[in-house]
Amino acid sequence: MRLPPLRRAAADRLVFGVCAGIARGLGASVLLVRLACAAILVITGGVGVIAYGALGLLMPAEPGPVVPWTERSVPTLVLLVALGAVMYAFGLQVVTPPLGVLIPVALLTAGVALVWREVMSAGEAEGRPRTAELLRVGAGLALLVGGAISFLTDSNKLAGLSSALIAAAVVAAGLGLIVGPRLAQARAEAEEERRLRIRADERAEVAARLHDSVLQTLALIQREEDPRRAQSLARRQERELRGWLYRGEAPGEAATLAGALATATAEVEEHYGVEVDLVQPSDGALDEGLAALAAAAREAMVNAGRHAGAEKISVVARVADDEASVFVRDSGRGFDPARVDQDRRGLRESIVGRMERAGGRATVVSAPGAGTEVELVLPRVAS
Amino acid sequence: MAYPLRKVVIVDDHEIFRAGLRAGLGPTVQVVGEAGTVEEAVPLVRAEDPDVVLLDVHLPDGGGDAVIAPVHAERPGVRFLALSVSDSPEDVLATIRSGARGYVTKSITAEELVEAIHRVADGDAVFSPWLAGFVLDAFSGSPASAAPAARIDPELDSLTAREHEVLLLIARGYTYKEIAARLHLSVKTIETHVSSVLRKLQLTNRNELTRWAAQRRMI
Repeated sequence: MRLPPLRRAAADRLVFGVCAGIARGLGASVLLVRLACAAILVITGGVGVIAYGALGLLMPAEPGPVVPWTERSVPTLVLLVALGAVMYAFGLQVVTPPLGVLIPVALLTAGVALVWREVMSAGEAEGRPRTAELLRVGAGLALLVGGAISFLTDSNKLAGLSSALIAAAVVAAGLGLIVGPRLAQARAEAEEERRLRIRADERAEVAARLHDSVLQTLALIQREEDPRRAQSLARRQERELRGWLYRGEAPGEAATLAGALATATAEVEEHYGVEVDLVQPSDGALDEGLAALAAAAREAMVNAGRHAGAEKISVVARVADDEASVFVRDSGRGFDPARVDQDRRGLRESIVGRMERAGGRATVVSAPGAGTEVELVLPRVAS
Repeated sequence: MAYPLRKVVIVDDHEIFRAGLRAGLGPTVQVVGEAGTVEEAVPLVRAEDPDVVLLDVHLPDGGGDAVIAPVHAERPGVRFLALSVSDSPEDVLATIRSGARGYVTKSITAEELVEAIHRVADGDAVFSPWLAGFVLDAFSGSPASAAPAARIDPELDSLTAREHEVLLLIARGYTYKEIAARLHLSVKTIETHVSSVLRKLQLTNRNELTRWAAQRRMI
């Protein structure tokens, strides 16, 4: 599980909103966190104050209106005075590190905080002048170096091992923060380069595909004497190219209803020399139900191509969340659905039966001389 | 049917296509001018003042809307019929929303095209099965997803049951006459429904329209 990023609370802040922010981040009670924080401040003395200040600088503020100072000044001041008194009474003489350690640590912390803010905001502020950015990083660096130097000059007198470790860690972290953004930028550049290479590869693949399909077909068409055959070649190529361009399908495999219908349409056009006008505003991934729908629609197109004697078959396919439907219509010679031979498997088995097995229905509307329309409707369960 | 003679300007950048079109338009349509670019088309339409402009939705120097925009207000009598083979739905949508009275694909038969020209010249609207399917799809679902800043107008942003029915039949390949017969209405009533849908298509704030157009391809 990933904890949400720590942000300084806006609504219930007392000083910087650090405690409330941490409490929210950890899902703990604000009062508990504040008590713990106060205890740490009392025990560690000045170091705790620096840490609190650093957190105040490091944690980004939560968006939203901040409680105005006038509303919280009384409790905050009371709290701070009480805390100061307690620190003075108990902790100060006991654990507070000497001033010689406190000052360098404070400098180092402020330096790190400045650099860190710069890093955090670099991504958001694109058009900011570069000099301001450099100035800030420079100031952060100066603070870091100053802290380190003043620490070193004092440390031979007051070499506390723990203070030395803290200072070293702080310097290391500061350096990391300065180098970090450069590394991030380098990674972004590498990513960009990779994207460009992928694009080049894609382009090469497109060129290869066009050569193998479209250019070959164009060459064939130029040599083709029979206009009907040339037309059918062109149409088939067009569908194949569309399928590949817009639905990412290689020929022969359909991933969506539109792909399956386009394939069926091309086959019917080729076999029966009839034009099929496919209208499909919406599409869906080819699951079991839609595959059955596509197969039934194909059969309806085949029937129309074989029996209707029409020049054109109109097919419209719609996919909604709750229902998918295909209408196959021709204005050919039509027939009387009540008088279809029982052995005409196409209609009874491949269309009506198939749709019923898939949980849908098929309706055939036709009359001699008035064309035929097959309506295929498949209810869908929201997935 | 007896049609009056209509003056037509063809705007398409493919000369061979223009020639083929001209040859198939028959005696009731007189082609008074041809243009291949937006730059040529605008002065030509102003000069000839045709009844109908057959307009490719994508030209070398701009979309079909670039031809309509400068002429539409000053020549309200000039009707535009968008004509395309496989342009992006964005272009088709932009052309229609800037004032075209209809959209047909180039696979339309000459006979159907002549009928469409006369229908558009009479001020009615013409939807290809594809456009009808497109509009049905774009207008389905609740209009709640329109742009937050835009006001939802229930009258403009949804189709009536009858309009839905008519569009679905157009998408299914029915002619106006067949639709009229099937719904027991007059052809005039069907034309009124389609014109009303065209108006909604031109004025609606539904942002499904543009999203739809951006995602899908029109044949």
